Amino acid sequence: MKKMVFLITILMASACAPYPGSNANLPGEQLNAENRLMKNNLDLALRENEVIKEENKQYKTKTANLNSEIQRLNEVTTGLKRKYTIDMAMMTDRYNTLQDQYNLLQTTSDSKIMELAAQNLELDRRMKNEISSLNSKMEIQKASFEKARQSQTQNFAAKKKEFETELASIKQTLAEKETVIASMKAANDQSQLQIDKLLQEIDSYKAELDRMNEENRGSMQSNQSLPEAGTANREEPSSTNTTIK
Amino acid sequence: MWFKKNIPFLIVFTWCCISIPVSVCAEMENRTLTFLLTANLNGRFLTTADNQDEQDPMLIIAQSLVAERQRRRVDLYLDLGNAFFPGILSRYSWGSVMMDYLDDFGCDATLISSQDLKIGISNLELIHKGKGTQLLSADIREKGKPVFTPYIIREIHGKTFAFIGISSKNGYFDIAETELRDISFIEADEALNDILTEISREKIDYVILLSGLSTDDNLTLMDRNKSISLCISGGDTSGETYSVKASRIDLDSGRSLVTLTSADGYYILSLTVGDSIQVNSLDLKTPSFQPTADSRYSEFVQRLTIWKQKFETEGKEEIATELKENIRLDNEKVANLLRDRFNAEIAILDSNSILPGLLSTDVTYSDILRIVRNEHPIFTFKLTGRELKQISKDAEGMIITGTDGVNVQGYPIEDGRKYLLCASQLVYDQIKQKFGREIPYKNSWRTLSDEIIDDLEGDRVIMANNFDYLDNRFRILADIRLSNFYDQSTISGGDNPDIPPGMPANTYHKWGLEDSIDVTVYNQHHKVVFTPYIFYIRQDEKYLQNLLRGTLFYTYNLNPVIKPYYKSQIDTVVVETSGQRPILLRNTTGVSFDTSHIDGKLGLGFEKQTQDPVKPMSAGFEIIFDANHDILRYFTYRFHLDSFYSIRQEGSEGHRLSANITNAISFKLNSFAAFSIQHKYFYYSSLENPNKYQDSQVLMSLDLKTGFKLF
Repeated sequence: MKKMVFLITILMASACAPYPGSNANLPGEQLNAENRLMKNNLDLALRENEVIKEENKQYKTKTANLNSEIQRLNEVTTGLKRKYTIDMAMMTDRYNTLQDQYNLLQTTSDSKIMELAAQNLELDRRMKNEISSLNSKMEIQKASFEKARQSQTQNFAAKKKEFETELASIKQTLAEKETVIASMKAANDQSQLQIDKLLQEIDSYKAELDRMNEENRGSMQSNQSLPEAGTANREEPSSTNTTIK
Repeated sequence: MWFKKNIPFLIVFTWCCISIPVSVCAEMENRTLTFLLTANLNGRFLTTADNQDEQDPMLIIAQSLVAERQRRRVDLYLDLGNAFFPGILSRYSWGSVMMDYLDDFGCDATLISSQDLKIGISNLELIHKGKGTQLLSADIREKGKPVFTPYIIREIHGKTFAFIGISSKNGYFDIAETELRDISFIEADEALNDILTEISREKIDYVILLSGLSTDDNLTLMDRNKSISLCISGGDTSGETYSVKASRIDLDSGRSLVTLTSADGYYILSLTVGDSIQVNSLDLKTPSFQPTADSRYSEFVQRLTIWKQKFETEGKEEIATELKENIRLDNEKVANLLRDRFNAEIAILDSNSILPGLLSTDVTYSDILRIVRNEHPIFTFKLTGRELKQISKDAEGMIITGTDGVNVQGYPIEDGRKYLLCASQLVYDQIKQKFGREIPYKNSWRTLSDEIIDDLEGDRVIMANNFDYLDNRFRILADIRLSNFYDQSTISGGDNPDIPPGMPANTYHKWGLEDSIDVTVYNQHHKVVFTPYIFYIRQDEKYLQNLLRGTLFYTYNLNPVIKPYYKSQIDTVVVETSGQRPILLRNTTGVSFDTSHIDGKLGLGFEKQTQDPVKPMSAGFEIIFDANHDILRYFTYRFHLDSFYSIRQEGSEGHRLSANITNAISFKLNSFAAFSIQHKYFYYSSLENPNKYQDSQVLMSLDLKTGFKLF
């Protein structure tokens, strides 16, 4: 019996034990937690390290390429420098030659300039004298031209008066002529009226004659339709036709 | 003389001295600032480097940010959180590639939000080292001190701005960090007050709050702290208030709350700074492919390409090959896998744990990384049936397998019984928060990825489409009920003392117990309960009760309510009396009716006393009835009827009826101790014999009751 009670007590105790319990403070759990954190950190560090290594490798390759490019460019630069030195020597020689030529030309040109300047001064002086003489001549000519102009103006005024008088007489003659023309024109108009009147009369006579011819033609046709009177009627038209003529 | 000579110069100089500072001051007084803002970038990089300039959404945003800086003056670039998770490449790099992104494209600070915490605090600290972008959070504390930079101070156009970061509490810390570093959230109000007190010692013109809190919480903080000139929220908040999204709220004090409601692009915030900060506009910009020759962009793309190449190389690592068929993986399947691997009755995952997808017949590491979005460790813990029902009812955002909220493994959930659950730490934290109590747990220190990979490399349970076999697993329960009393009375006073009325005349020693243990072995179809029961009361050498009973009860779980059963019961005595040990055997079979409060059994069978003395077998039927009802929180009423009626047969004693009726009221002292008063009534009648045996007994006892699952 006691064993049974003991067994029940054990079962009871085990039943009351909480499941499984928050075991955060247990050393094992601490280790697990640290392990998890370190694992994640390590994972990150490793991957980042890999990427940085790869990046570094790419940069190294790029640097090596750039170095070889620098070397190539240095060689090119050295060649160019050498060429530059030679060119510079040649250019210096040429420069010196040109400088000498320049100096020579400058000396020559200086004397030429001085000569030309003297000539220029002489020309200036001559030109000034020429101008002053021409000016005086122009003054004289101007005075004579003025005098001539005044005499011609006076002549022109006299001529003008003369022509005006002549024009007035011509105008008067013209007015008389026009009066004559007007009277002749009136007589002409009168004659024209008479002509028109006579033409009208001629037209009326012509119309009367046409009318009579028409009547005569109608009478001849009626006579031809009558057999008895045929002969007589055949003679009349001929006399009629003669009249018309 | 000099004066007269320089009069015009002096006039022009004097005009410049007066007019230029005035105009500059006027401009300074009301200066327009432009901030670039992003939120919920989620580290959405493509995993392939092919044509990435035109196709990678993160690079397209970066190009737009670069172009934006070339187009206009940008005074500050801030990220409002959730930048690091769940993008595959960002997860693979533990946020490193995203940190480079923010740093290279001139982000001044990023707010730590719930998704970012999934990268892990220590990893965030590691990737932050040597970077210009600050990780902001004032309310994440380690032993009371901020883990990340709580605020940054920037001088812009001669004005000093303080930017304070407040993270939302939607996130959960990794259990390892919680345990080792004592990291926790403090209340936003408290964190803000600390920082405002700290920065009050410096000359700050404006305080700008960067927050992941809800709109309502932000408005409350702004209301309580008038020194906040502007609040910019995003990341964990959607900007919802009264079920409506609001990207900008202006307070009557002239201050504003702006929220980044969309993750599809970036924002340009234009502010006018005068006596206060006035929000001119908050424009969402859609990024587009814009080729750029920016050197920072080129450098970042170079590093990103290496990350992608590394991922591709490592991602090709094969986990399982030549599977029979493609596997459709989703939360439910993985939850069932957890039930299998942890032998749990129920598994719960948050709905974002697995991105549903198809695994090909050759599974690689990148497939797992693509599908699994929860790297928290897996916990096993126990919840009561009542709690389980509550979780099932409020299961929004959770995937629960193993229960439909009513039954577990084919049996109704019992409120008081504990069930073994398996869940990720995230779900465990949510459940703990929900019930506001410490729930004992066991940390497996393994993740969903670990379990899936192990399974694919081993049993390949995950390939199954039917997980009903999990409910066929046998489990063992032990329910112990101990009810004991002890009474020792010692009388002294000589040979013949005067005995007061009502007091015992002799010394006596009385003790008793009524104990039983239910050992239950069950699965979804079968249930076998073996119950040893002892009812033993002894006073000195006299046995008042001397019953030892063993019951074997088998049920076939045909239906939740109606179940056929078989019962075999042996009654004998604890201690032989008069050299005799009678044994009564009863075997019955019948139907059991189970409901939530009432169980009834109706069966046919026989009884036979096999020794001391041997009696003929008698057939009959039994009626068993049990009812349990919680009257109040601590009071439980229990009724039990066990009766057997034997029919007269050849050679038997004739019709007999035996009935045992118990009425009990228990007062629970704690989860396993109760004080109870019970009335037991035993009735035995042979219909041929007019003398009926009746025993009425009232017991008051201290009961110990507990139950646990062995596995």
